[in-house]
Amino acid sequence: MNTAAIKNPSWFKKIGLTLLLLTHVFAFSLVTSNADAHDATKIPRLANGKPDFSGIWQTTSAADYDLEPHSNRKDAPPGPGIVEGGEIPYLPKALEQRKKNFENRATDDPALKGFTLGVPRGIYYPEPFQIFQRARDLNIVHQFGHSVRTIHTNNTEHPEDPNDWWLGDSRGKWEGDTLVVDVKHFNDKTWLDRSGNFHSDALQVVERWKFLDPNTIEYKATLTDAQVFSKPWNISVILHRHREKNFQLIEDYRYTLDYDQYYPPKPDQK
Amino acid sequence: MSSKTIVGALAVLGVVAGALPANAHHAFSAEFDAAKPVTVKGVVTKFELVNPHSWLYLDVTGPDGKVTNWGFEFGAPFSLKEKGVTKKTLAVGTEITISGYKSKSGQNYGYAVESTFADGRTVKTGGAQDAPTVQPATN
Amino acid sequence: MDSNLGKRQHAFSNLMLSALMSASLVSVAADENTTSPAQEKKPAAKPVETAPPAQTRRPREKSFPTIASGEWTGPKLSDGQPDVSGFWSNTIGNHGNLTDPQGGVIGEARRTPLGPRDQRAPSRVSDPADGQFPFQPWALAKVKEFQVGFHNPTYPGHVEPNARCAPGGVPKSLYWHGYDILQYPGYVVFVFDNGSRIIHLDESKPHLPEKLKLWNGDSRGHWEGNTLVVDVSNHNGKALFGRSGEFISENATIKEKYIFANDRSRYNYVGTFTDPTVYTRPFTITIPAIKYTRAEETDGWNLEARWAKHAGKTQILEHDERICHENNGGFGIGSAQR
Repeated sequence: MNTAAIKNPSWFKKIGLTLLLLTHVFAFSLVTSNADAHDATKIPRLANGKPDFSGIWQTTSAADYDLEPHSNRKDAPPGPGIVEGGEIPYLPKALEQRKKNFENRATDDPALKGFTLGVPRGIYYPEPFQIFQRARDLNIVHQFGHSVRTIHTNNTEHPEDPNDWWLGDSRGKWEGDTLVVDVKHFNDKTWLDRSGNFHSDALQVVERWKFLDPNTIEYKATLTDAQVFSKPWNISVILHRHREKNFQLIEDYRYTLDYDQYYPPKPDQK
Repeated sequence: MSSKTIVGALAVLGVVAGALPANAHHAFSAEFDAAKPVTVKGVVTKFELVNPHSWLYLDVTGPDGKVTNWGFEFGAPFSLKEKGVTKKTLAVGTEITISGYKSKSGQNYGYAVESTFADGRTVKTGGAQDAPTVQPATN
Repeated sequence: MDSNLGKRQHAFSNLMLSALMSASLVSVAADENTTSPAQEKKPAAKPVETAPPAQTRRPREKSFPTIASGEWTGPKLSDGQPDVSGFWSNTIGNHGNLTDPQGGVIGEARRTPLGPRDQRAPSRVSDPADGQFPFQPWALAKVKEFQVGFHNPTYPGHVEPNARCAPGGVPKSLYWHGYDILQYPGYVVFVFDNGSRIIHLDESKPHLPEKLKLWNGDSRGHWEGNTLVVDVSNHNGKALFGRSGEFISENATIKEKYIFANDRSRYNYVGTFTDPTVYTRPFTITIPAIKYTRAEETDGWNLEARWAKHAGKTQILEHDERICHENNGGFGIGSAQR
């Protein structure tokens, strides 16, 4: 029949178009999911959508030698430092202490005693740290000293009755995909680098953690300390994800090295 | 038997609820000298609430008017807070008398057995189980 | 108030009973709390803040239930792990004495004599059945030397490493202060007051090279139902086992099972240690642990936590940082370094 013959082509057309559409949709979804799998720009996220910083990180910056601009020394390469604006704004009396620290850095650097590195030095110290992240907090395990810092991301506040903590008390909030952390309630026993830059127990650090890409974090910090600095100052370093196969932290305790040869007992030992 | 009687009985037996070594961080005899009791009175210059042992620093004025700074080891922040010893109660400038034992190093450091505040309140601030329990003689 | 008094009477009479039977007085509380009752006898002392009431402190256990390895019926994390994260602590006592954990430190003067052995918790050693470490003769001799030297150390190796803030190692960390268990995809992390252990759940990752010896070793594990099965290598043995001086060498291998009850209130650690350079045969250490969920139970030892400060209604338990830096460096005088 002519009607049937006429109807057939349009029916076929509809089916054909539908099939074509479906094929495109299917192909597109394949492409998209493949693209997701290979999309180098998609940062990892927790189930709650927040950026997931879990992983092992380390900076290539030379900041730990000296945060400020400096020529080379026998114990350090030259560097422009990482202090925004150039130099740390020390109060006059504190500057005297800083100079003393610098002169005695070969003996007085607390890191030489294996003491925990403190905040923010642990972030730019040339040893890896591992971030373990859940919805409620980040736990940073530093290879050096195996120190653990907890950044609470559960809308809790600094405690009413703080101690004088080595790593302060860290409370984090999300601003979009940036983790903003307020750290305070420190003791004064850590240095900010090897050259003797230091702080008091009034130190407050505000950190900003942000992915630049899935394997790179931009870390910024603002340091305030009314007993040492005349005004707040900023630093920034880039952190890179360790991607070597089977890379892991290896606990690094320095302070046990002076006596650990005496343990455990050995048959031939006195 | 009332709880007070039980407590009294325990004390008489020398057995006190939950006594002795929980905190094993310490080696009192490695650092401090039980044969060298010391008591100083001064003004707080710094109080560090640090685990496992806090430290208190105070300016002590000698009979000659000379001021020396002494450092004393206190117990853990948790146990100090239980006794009402906080950063506020030991703020800079607070008058305090500390009795304890001198450091073996010979420097102006000591282990604080007991601290007495200006209002007469006395608190056991020491944190080492292996420290002597007998009150040191005041000098 | 009455019910508090009644509870206190009950708690005190329990304590008196156990105190009379075992004068070792292994504590759940920091030492200062013990002096509060004694201070009541001194007329001169003004009242000071007293310790939290005894009923919030869990008494030490003298026995503990076996937990069978088997299916996990409790809540799971998104990656399938049983959810056992939280604050945990052992129930029996500290590291004072391994074979008689509530029997006091060996060589320490007693105020009251020890009662019958079966009135106290069993040896940490669950195999061999006699609860003794199967030492080779040379090692036993070293242990006895430590038990003497510990009280007044002149040899550096007789200072118990905890006094130097050294990491607790395996298994001492589990009967030291309370600790955190944290879980993440691919990891179980233990955070102790001295040290941490990262258990890698990817067992295809090889252990570290043999030459690397660590205080807390290198761990690989996996879950079998309610049991976390862990293989520990690269352990340096330096932490020793406690004040009774027992130890393993750096040649030891350790196989661990953390067997969790399905209600998540308890778990038993069962660790088998093999060290042919120190022992005549492998031995097993069993450590019971319970979970802490309330800040009121903070006692400065099993739990040192607070309720978090926040605007919300739920109570959130959080722990202070766990870092100890004292008496570091060479043998002896920490205060001299100040």
